[in-house]
Amino acid sequence: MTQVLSPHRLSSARAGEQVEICAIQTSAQERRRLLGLGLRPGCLAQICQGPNAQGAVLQIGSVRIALGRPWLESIAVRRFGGPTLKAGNRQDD
Amino acid sequence: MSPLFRVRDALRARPLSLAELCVVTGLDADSAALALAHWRRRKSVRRIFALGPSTNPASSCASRCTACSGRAGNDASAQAPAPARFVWVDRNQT
Amino acid sequence: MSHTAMVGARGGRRIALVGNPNSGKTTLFNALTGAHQQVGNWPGVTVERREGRLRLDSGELIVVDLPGVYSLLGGGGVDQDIARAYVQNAQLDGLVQVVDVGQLQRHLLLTHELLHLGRPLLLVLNMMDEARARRAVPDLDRLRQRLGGIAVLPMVARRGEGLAQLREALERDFPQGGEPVPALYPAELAHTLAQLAAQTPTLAALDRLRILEGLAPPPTDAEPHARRAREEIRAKTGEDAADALAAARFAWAEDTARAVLPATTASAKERWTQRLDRWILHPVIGVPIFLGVLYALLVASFNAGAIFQDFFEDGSKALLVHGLGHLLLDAGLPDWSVQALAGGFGGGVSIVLSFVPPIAFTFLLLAALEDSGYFARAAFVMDRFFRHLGLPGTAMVPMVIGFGCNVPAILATRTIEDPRARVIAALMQPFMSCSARLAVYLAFAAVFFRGYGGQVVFALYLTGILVAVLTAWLLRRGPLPGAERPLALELPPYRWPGLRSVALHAWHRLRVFVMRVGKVIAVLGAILLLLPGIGWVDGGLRSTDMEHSLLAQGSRTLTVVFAPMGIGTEQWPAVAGLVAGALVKEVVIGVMNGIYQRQGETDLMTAYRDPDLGAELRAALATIPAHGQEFLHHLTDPLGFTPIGDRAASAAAAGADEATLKGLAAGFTDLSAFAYLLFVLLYLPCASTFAALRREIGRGWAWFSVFYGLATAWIAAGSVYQLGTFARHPGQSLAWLAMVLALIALFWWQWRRYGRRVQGKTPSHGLAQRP
Repeated sequence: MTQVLSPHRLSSARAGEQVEICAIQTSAQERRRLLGLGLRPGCLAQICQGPNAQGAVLQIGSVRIALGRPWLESIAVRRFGGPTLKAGNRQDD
Repeated sequence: MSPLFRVRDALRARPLSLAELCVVTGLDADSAALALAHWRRRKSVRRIFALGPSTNPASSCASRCTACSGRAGNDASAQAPAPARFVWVDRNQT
Repeated sequence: MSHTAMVGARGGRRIALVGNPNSGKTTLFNALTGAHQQVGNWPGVTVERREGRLRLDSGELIVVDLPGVYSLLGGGGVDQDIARAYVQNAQLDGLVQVVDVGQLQRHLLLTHELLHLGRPLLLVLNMMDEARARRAVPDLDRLRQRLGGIAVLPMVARRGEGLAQLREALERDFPQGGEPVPALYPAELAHTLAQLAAQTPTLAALDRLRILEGLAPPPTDAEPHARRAREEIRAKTGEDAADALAAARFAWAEDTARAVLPATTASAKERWTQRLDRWILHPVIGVPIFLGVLYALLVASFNAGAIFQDFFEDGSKALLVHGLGHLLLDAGLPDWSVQALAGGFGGGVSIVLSFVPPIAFTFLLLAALEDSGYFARAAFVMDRFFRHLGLPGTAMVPMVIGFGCNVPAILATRTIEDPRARVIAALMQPFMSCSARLAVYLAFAAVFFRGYGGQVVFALYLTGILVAVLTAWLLRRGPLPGAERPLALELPPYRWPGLRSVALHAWHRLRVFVMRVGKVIAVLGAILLLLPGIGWVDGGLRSTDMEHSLLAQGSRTLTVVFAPMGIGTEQWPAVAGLVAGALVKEVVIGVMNGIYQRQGETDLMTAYRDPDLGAELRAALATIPAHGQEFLHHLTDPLGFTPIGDRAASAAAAGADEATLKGLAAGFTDLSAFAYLLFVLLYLPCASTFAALRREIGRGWAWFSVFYGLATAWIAAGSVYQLGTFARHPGQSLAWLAMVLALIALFWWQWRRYGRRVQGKTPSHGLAQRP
């Protein structure tokens, strides 16, 4: 069975990669703040700069977002364009 | 080509999540979602979920496996579900 | 909203607000109808129905707020069914579609369907502020054209921006026509649809669409026409009618959006932004770039402002001090009250006006930086360094401005979002050694530190920075705890700053300064300027020379406090300088000049008796070109360090007279001079800075700054002197140090207690509380 790529922390991602945001571990207030910037689980992001000591710069749609270093450990991402899902998947409708 | 048919062609090629669909078709998330809604209404698209770690604390998996649920509380990546993907269904064959 | 009124149930024109969910419909509805709305339920369901009345010049208008709907053809729940039915069937004079302009393409899908209704339609493009920030504002004229001439109005509903325009449009029936009817479908589809319309005249256009798209069954008599139309569409397009029609709708929405939205958002501007960000956000190069930008900011705020500063100061002094004094003297007022009103109050206002140039230039450049998009980058670059202080990266900007003058620096802390961080950044400012203090350093350097004056001045600047950092640390362990929220902000595309918005922004800040801060400075200035000019002589208050003034009398009494710093009673002029320096620190030297020169009583009144306003104003004007020439020279030395090491140059730069220098040399030693300078560095914010602190962070924190500064200065200066002269009087020095340590321990204990008490009261995220 083909494995889906596991999510990893944003700190392990690399500049130039396209990633899918999987989860954001933070308070509800901070999550709302990020949502206001367009960053939410399920959205696609291009890593423009970082991750490094400063943090990271992501491009989501036409919006560039700068994230400080603490976010690198709180955001889980998956590299975009993983292999196709095959047998063993649950289906609905 | 109409965005609606771009979505169809993209899904015919391979199953895609909403985010992947946006990249392939050049549509924003909302327009892509509306296009998907049309094809789902027409029974041409099905949504599928990949198997992954359970994020529902009430599920039996999480409640029995202390190692998993213990780790999941601290690690954002362990909690993250795989996003839903959409697959094209050829209506002639269903 | 001032025109809304409750009117009887006569009824008038009626419109409905329609749009996707979260487009701001209800915000707009509330803005239009204010309190004059009724909330109930739609018949038979538990969906809220909102209806309101709007009084216009042309009569009353009833506004119905409909639930959000994505498509008029189907989908969603009961609430969307209601909106669909109402839009199609109700008696309406028009429809207003509210569109989130940031999602234009998606909203245009609904617009396409609304255009089938044949009802008067008006489009409101909401959230235009966000579109402007993203440089994604659509071409309204082009959009209007493509929609067949219907009115298209920009709006920021939550701010009320655009409401007046909308009210004007609602005064009359919505303009229709004027442009060719938009082609909603490609030719082959349009032909088939037109044919079907002719064959089924009783059906509404949307009903026909529903039938063709398989969303509703056709009436019996229409069934064969519908079947034929579907077959025709399949033959022409190769697609099912449902898919072909939906595809046409999506294509129309995409084409229309693409035609009216600026192309540059996607391409050229993004490329430039990416290119610039590669360097500006570079983890290594980004920092020197930031420092370079700050250098330019410092030069602009301080040196460019200095070109006009003398003009403002001398000019206002001519009018408000000498001119006013002359008028008052002519009116027959006694000397001391002339001195109080003209010298004191007029002088105070003159000081406020002298700040106008540096503040104006500071804010012009800050506004330009913000508008250009650079500011957000600066915050990101400096974030990692300042996070350890619990401050955001942008806190560096006020700190650097503070090296010129603390007042605009404190006003600049407004750019810091987090209120706690803003208080900390503001309280750090008084320790940034400003240009006024440099004048004092230069005077002392001329006498005491020849050969290593630069090092001494640098040590003082560094001490100021260290004390500022210590202050931040202290506040974090007291009533302003909590980690700084991790940085997350949007980096807008770079652009050339808009001249108008930059000028407006700077003007607004300047006005705030002159009106609010200026009032406090004027009052404090009046008090402190009085002190050197009046004294208690022969049982009454008289206008006196400086030696017999209240300032001198008070200073002589105060010198005992400065004994641990090595200042004796014969050095009371230096203390007088400190007292007067509480107003404006430049005055420290000026006061000492006055005392050491034994300025005569008559000098002060002469200026009032016979002012030559014309000459004074001309002289003031002449300072502008003179300083303008110096400006170029100062580009390489904005803070004016060059004179250090050269006695004559230092003295000239400090404005110190020979008599003052001799007086200083006689009274101080190297060590006591350094202790004195340390005191000048730390002792308290000047009146202008105090006023700015009061304005930005509140009276409580402003007074804290005063007492904290005094205590820090006294302890630091005293300790330096006592440690330096330990050998001479070890017992005294030890006693002093023991007392200081005890005071610090007591303060720390109380400070932590206070901090814990405040933390108990604030919510976990914690906002700054005024003590």
